[in-house]
Amino acid sequence: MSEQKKVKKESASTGEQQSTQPEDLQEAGDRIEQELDRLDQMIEDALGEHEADAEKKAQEFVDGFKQKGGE
Amino acid sequence: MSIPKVIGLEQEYAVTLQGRSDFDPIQISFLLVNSLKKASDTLWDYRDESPFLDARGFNASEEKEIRVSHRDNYRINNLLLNGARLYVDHAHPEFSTAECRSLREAVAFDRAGERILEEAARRLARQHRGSPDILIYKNNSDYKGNSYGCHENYLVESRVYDQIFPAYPAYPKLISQLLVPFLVTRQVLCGSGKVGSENGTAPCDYQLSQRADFFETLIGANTTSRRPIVNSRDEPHADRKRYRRLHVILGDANMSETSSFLKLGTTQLILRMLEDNWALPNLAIEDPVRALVSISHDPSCKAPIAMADGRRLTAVEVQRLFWEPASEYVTAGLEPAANAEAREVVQLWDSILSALSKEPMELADRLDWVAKLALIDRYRSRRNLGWDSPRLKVLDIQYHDVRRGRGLYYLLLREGRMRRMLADDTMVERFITQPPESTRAYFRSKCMEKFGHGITEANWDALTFSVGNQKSQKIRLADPLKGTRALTEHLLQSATTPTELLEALGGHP
Repeated sequence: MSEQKKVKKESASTGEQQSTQPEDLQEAGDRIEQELDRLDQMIEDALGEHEADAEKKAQEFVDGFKQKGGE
Repeated sequence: MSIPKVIGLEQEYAVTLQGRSDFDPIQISFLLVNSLKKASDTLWDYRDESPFLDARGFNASEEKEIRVSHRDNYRINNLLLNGARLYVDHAHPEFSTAECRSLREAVAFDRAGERILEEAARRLARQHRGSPDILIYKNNSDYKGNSYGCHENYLVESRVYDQIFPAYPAYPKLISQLLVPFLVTRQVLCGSGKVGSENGTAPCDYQLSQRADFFETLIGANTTSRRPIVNSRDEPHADRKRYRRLHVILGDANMSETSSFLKLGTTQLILRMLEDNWALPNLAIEDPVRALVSISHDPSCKAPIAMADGRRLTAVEVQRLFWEPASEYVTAGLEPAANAEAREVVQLWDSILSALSKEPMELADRLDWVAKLALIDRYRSRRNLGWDSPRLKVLDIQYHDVRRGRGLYYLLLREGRMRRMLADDTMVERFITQPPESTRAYFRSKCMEKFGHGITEANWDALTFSVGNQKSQKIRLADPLKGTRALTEHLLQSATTPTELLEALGGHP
């Protein structure tokens, strides 16, 4: 593999380096997009009832989230 | 040589009733605390508490002590066999961890608290089938100007504590030049993130901290009003001649193990350096209360704050100036045992600061505020929502839902989008029922387990035994570093009755 084809990605925390070819990147991009779609679906599942009439129900939820000061 | 930095966390949880806005949070808190079987009828001993005593040498309130009736005491408190205290504080169920000796223990114990509250809600749901579910959130604000705490406690040498809090009106040099700038800028590491602002601060779309909008002054013993950046409550829960407790109230409730590890680990290091007289820079901030908010309201981490000496530095740059001496201190290797985790803290702190100075969003798998921002911003962009959409606040709140099947933090964790500091849940599972073994929490917990029926009152540093017709006897646990498994397991195993234990102790565990 030539150096020009390598794409290096440095991890912010560990300094680990990964090498990936462009075709791999395309596949990885598609996979990530699918995962993100799945994540969106799971967020909607987590929000549950708030998604049906989203803004109104969300506002009701936020309004109902009333706490008292503590400490 | 600095003393081991025993740590404890106190988390006030938010509670709601699903689909209902007319719930009574105090009643729900009572139900949660009492839904878990009590190990004994032992009451909490309030007599040693001094929440109004200010470390600068005066009382912050005319009240001198907390008075709680026998009946209320029993309803408010649940003394758990893992050495923790679950109780009703104001209108919140509060989980105070047992005393932990290592950072990972503290992170795991804090997480065990989530599991215990999750289980309490599950039990109530089973007992009251058909009633709305109780939802529990580990956060710090309700968007309506109400904040509740996640307090940290650090064991500090009395000598150094007195230097931190000189008698009023002496200038609190260490607070102004060191603790305040450290704590005010620490939020870049351990803020939990929040949509919008509240409590009268300037409007913003998103901010780093759940708590920054609620602090109004530099030092004080209060926690419920005029909240101070540095809390001067002088309540050691130990032999005050040797030990004191630094009670930090500024921090956020963390879901991310990295944020929690860094919050505790960096603070622990600063205190160790102080105790070892390590040279630390003067990083006094011109207006700390304003800086606290302006840092929080800047997710780019690029806006500078005004330092007292005229410099203008970003929060990340200030943290880097704390990291530099900390790195040298750890490299000097004063105590090998304490240094293993300290080295890890320094390395992690370094890499996180580097990423924050370049592109904070790279840390979406590590820090709470970044993970939440990435999640919310993506959701917002794909649906073309404005930052004022209430759906974003719902996402914000749901990030902190302690239910593993519903909370958004747990969703990220399941999807492999959050890194962990704990290898797995083994330690968390253990701490749901067992105490840490290297502090006095072990002795307190095992006494409660074996002799709970003979212990009438307990608190962090005392157990009161009442056996038969004998006069009750208070056993002091004045040293948080004693009462460990290594020191007391044999004694606890060999005593078959409270009387035998007391005789063997001779008054001193």
